[in-house]
Amino acid sequence: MTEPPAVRARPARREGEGAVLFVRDLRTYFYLPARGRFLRAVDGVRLAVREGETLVLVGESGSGKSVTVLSVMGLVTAAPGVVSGRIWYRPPGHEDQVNLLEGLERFARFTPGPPVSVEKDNRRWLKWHEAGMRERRGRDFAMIFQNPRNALHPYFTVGQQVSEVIRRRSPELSGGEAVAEARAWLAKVHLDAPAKRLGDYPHNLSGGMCQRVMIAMALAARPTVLIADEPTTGLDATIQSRVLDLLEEMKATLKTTTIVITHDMGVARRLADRVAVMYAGRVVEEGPAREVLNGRYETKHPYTHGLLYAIPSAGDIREKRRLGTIEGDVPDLSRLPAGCQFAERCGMKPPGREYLCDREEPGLDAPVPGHRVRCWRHLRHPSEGGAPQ
Amino acid sequence: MSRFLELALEPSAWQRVRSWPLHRTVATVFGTGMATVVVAVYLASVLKILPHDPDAMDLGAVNALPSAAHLLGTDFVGRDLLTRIMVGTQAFFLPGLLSVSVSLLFGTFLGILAGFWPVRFDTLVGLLLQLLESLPKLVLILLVVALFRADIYLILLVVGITNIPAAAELLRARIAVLRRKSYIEAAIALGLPPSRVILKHVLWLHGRGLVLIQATIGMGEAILIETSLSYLGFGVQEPTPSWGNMVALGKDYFFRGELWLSTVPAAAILLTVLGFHLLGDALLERLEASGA
Amino acid sequence: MLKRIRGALLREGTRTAVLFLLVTMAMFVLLNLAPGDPVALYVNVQSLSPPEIEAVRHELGLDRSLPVRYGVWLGRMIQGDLGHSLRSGRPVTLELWRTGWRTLLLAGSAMTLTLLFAAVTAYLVAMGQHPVWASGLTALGYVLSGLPVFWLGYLAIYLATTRFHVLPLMMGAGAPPGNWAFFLVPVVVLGLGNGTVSEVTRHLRTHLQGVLGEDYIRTARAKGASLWRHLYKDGFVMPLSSLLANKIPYVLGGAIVVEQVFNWPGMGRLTWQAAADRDYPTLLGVTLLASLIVRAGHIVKEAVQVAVNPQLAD
Repeated sequence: MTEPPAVRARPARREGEGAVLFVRDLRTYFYLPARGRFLRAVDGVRLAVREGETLVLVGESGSGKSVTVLSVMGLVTAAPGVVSGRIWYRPPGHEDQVNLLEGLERFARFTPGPPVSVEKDNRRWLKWHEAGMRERRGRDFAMIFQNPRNALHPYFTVGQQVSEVIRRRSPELSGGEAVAEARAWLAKVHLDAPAKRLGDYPHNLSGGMCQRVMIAMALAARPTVLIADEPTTGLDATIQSRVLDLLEEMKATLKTTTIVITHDMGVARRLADRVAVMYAGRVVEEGPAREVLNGRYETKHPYTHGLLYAIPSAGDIREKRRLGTIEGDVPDLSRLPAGCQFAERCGMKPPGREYLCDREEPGLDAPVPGHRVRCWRHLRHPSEGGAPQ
Repeated sequence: MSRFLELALEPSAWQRVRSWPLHRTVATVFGTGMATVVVAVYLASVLKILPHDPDAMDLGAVNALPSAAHLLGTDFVGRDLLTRIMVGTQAFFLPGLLSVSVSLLFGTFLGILAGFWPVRFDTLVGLLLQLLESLPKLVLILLVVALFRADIYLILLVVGITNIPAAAELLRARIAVLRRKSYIEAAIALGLPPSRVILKHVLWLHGRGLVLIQATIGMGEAILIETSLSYLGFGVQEPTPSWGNMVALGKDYFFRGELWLSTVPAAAILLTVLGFHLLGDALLERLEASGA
Repeated sequence: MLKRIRGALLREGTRTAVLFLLVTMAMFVLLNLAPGDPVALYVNVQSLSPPEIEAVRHELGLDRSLPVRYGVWLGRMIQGDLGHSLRSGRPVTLELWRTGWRTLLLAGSAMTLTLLFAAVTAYLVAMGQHPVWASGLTALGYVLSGLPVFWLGYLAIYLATTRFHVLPLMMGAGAPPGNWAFFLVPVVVLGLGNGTVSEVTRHLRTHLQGVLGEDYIRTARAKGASLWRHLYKDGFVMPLSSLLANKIPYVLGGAIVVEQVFNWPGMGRLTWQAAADRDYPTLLGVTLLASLIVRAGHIVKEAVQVAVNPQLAD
């Protein structure tokens, strides 16, 4: 049996300090009345994004990445929705943070059980929450979505949709000035013939062009935080690359605080300053991009390792080796096991200590400063002696 | 405050029904109940299991409100209202079934044609649909009544014919949606003949729902048309009771403040049509939710 | 946008012509399937002597073959000659003109009321912010759709005359100007009682819920934009215009009953009387006019939808 990992000192920083957006213990559940169970889409997520930083959320479909950002934006309407957590937002230049989920306890009561139960007045909560969030959307926060052709309104022209954002941000501008700025933004995202495009409808444009429009629309709001939900999914491979070029360029010139969601490690490689890996509604690894995305596994979560291992290297392709896979399937979010969520698919359990994996779920702790992992391989359980992590 | 509780085991059938939204439970229970009552009452009236003779005049108790002897009261010549209501089902029941059968039979045929061979038949069916839909039913019925005769079977046959496009469209839309579904494409790619695949999936899985929906909507409509016609004086004639002519007879008493005479048959119409509507809508919602 | 509308109107215009032809053909077939002497369809045989009847028969071309008769009949119709009422002797076209616009007024206002009621109810249900009102209005809609419109008319008259005293006890022919109740009460009765309210509401609600789930609505929300501005075209204008075109026949049919109840001198009451009198020319005229009105509704629908939805031009 190997020695449990040595106790390491925790960094003295307060959690989430200096972050523009700090999500703490977020839980978003959906109830399935036909099965009498909760779909635990987001189950205790902790995330932090610092000013000017690009955080990439990586994970398979169903890992909860989209629902997390939708919860931040206040766009989750299904019941019961957000049941607990805090979302601390500190606009740059301000000293104090504000909790975007302020007042949630008045409308929602979450009992972890067993049995899990939620008491929530969703109608009143949405009304309350919307009053606050409506102001922030399109000003502090801007979001771009996948399937850009469906995400743009089919009955309004490109010019109308972009100017709408500009007018909302700067109501003192006249109609003509807003249109002129819209044209400038379209040019900035390298859309050909921007003046002509102003009068086009989304169905006249290709998928890649629509995505550029979406990006222009989001950036025109001059947001504090930009959220991109799978911005390249659904586009042709060559177009994907071009859109990524554009996002990289925007990142370099505008330096907006950004959260990017993707299931594509290549996108993470190109855009990320920090990476957070999600699985089954939780963050399982989080740290600087260079550390999370490298091939070494000293501080790696087995899931991240599996994801990276699945990408073939040039040598693998040349030698026509078998692609690496992760055995098993994504868990049913309404029937999550006790213990580590990844245990049943994990091939890297700590030798001699596997019982921990099935019995108890590890917390998200940092064996190395600034790099968090949710895995018993790298963390010490309190029962194992030494100072608890 | 809504309470959501996670159950430890798979919910039983009863628990699943308990989880239905209130409006769906009410609709299904009420609708099925009313449909059963109507059928039962119709059969009873045909088998002459009636509390009184529909034509028997009890001149001692005219315009009476409900009592032990007459559960729903009497009309202006002392005839028992409950009995006449029961016999009134005969005015629309069989003709309604005829209307529904005609529209279902031909509608299914046309719907399959238009669904399977949209290129050839879509315009034909579409045109037929537009043709039949552009005429108000009541106007057409009055024309038929004037040209031929005021036979309720003939009238509801006409109504059935005018409903054919609607039934066809329902089926055609279903087929069009299913054809594009991936699992149908997969089945066809595997070599199964498309007609058999779609027939099996469409007609068997969805057909029952569609038949029930058409039947409920059709019966509801039949009642409203028959009662409107007999109210206008063209349908069933006195002394044979029809809910429509019963309302018409009570007109003068209504304005005098004696509302009962017209209201009893109107309530019967309301409850029956409401039941059919609710049931049909609940079924339609289930169909749209599952097959979408 | 104007170009699109023009294209749509042209398309619908040709379709109307084709449908009109088909309707006339169907009517003609129906007329000839009827038992009895076809002359009785055109003139009042009781008032004429046999040689006069023969003269009429020859003049109308009834002794010729079927297609020729259809051609003659159609030709007359296109020139505006729909024959003469068997009852009053007046030209049918005149009668229709006199009564038609009254029914259009009644039916148009009633239809607006139906759509308004359904729109408000559907919106409340789909948005979910006022569940009590939403459920109440939905239930009311279902009850109204099950109530026979003639009884509803009685109730309205009873309340208006005895309880609220807005109408005089005797309802004469014609609508005296100035008394708004004379117009409003039948409109409310026909608008709420024509039997389509629950169906229209359900349709609208399903459609709205679908639109609310669309990606572009989510984008609009994420932009902080006005939800209504992004919703009303696809969520209201489109389905309401479709429903308008599809439900006109029901409102016209209901108008027959309502006009009889309120003694409203419109086309509906004319139809009822004509059916009772077996006044075939009038009945035929009414049928054709009704189908034209319905067609007009479809044309309006097409124009509106093409104007609103830029994707429909292609």
